[in-house]
Amino acid sequence: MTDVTPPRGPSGPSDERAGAGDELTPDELASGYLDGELGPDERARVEADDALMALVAELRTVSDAVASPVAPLTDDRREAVLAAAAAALPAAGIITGVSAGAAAGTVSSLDAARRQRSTRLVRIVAGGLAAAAAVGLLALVVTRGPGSSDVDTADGAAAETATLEANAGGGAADTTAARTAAADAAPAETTTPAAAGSEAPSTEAPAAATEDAATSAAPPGSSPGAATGGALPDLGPLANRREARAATEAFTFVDTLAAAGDGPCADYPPPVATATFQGTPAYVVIIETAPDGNRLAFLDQATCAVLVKVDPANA
Amino acid sequence: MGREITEGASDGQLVAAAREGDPGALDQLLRRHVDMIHAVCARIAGNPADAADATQEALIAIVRGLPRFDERASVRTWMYRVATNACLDELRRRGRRPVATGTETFDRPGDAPGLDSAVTDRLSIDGALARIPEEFRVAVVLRDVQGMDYAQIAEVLDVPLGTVRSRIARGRAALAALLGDPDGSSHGNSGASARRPRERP
Repeated sequence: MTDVTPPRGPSGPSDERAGAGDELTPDELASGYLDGELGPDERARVEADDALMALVAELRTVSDAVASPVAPLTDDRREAVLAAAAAALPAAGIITGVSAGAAAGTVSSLDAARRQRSTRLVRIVAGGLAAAAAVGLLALVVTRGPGSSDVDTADGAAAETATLEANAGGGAADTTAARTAAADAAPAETTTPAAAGSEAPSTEAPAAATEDAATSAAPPGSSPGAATGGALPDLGPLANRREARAATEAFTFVDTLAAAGDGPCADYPPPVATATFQGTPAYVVIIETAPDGNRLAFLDQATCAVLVKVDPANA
Repeated sequence: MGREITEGASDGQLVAAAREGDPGALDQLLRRHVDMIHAVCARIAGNPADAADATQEALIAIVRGLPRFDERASVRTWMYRVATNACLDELRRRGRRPVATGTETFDRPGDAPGLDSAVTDRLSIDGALARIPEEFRVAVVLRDVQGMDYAQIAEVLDVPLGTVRSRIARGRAALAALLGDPDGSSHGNSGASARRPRERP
């Protein structure tokens, strides 16, 4: 093979090229030809070789596909992105003299938002688990009877876990957390496998806070509590994210988030529904709760890979 | 501040004005590039929601990096370097993408469906991009979405030009293999010879 000199610019040793020598592989020749990055000798060599020209055509198809337009940002989202970036100017140490103080207070890095959200979620989950444990213990006291050792063991384990997790959460039992815990007690209990197998009538006693439009708008028999504790509502076939968003509207403001690992996909909370997204059987999970609407994801039931995310902020 | 920034100002002029605290210049600079940065992030991220968030983080990173821009690189190169890293950082923080190790080989099945139909499916493209090593994906995206030449990509990624050539070629070859075999049934460590069924010329 002819030695190939890079067409332009400095070229240090490649740490990835097969052989790390001067010869270009067929893929590199075809790809370089496609990009106009070959010298005249190499170009001529590619053009004289039918196999290489076929490879060029193959890679051109790939290249065109990668270059095909992506779904643009919506106007609202675009403006929000630009506003968030502009608000970072004072934080960069650049004084604008124009609402610098106000802008500094509105820097909306996702990191900052994520930290705030995480703190809130930890408090909600910890509080919910603590309340669930309390309810479980109370139920034990009331319902304890002969032959219930299995249930006792399961509930005891759940209570212990919940107590430990609540303690690990820094004892987040301030008044807000306590209110949230009380409101979330029933749904939180249904998300724990041990509790799901207990005698607690979780689906018959939805907490007031979750008896909202979400519950009433969900498909028949598909309250979030029921969804996580037993048969999941099926949202049916969905063709795109718009349909996915519409179908999951009922879960947008459900203010509960179960811990990851309790569902069929270890990295995600238990599903609240199932669906068939673009032909792929999917679990629907709430991945983040937020005041402006929950973020949900559709997970491939076979691989748990994310098929699509539904984000109200990006509607 | 005080200098008037017109619509036709160069990126360099806009950066200079923005560094002096001109929010209008910053706005103009960001508007000029937001769509392309979003396109790059979208292809790197593979889904619109992550892409929008990553774009926001990329623009914020650019703004925060303005004081440190030393003008050794062109504004465009610097912006895309910052944006690419911000997109990748954002996706890594989410930690839910399949991460290829860079050691995989990708077979090209001889009897697989033709690429023409497969590559028209955007999900197939994004799915395939998600499965190739990150360094391949970024190089291919900068070339095919952003239209950078190899020298510019080398500058953005701070790697030798030969590495860029290799990453783009290997990335495209891997994509061709994946798109021709959507199930990934022939995806595996089957050796370099299996990666390219046709005879080397």
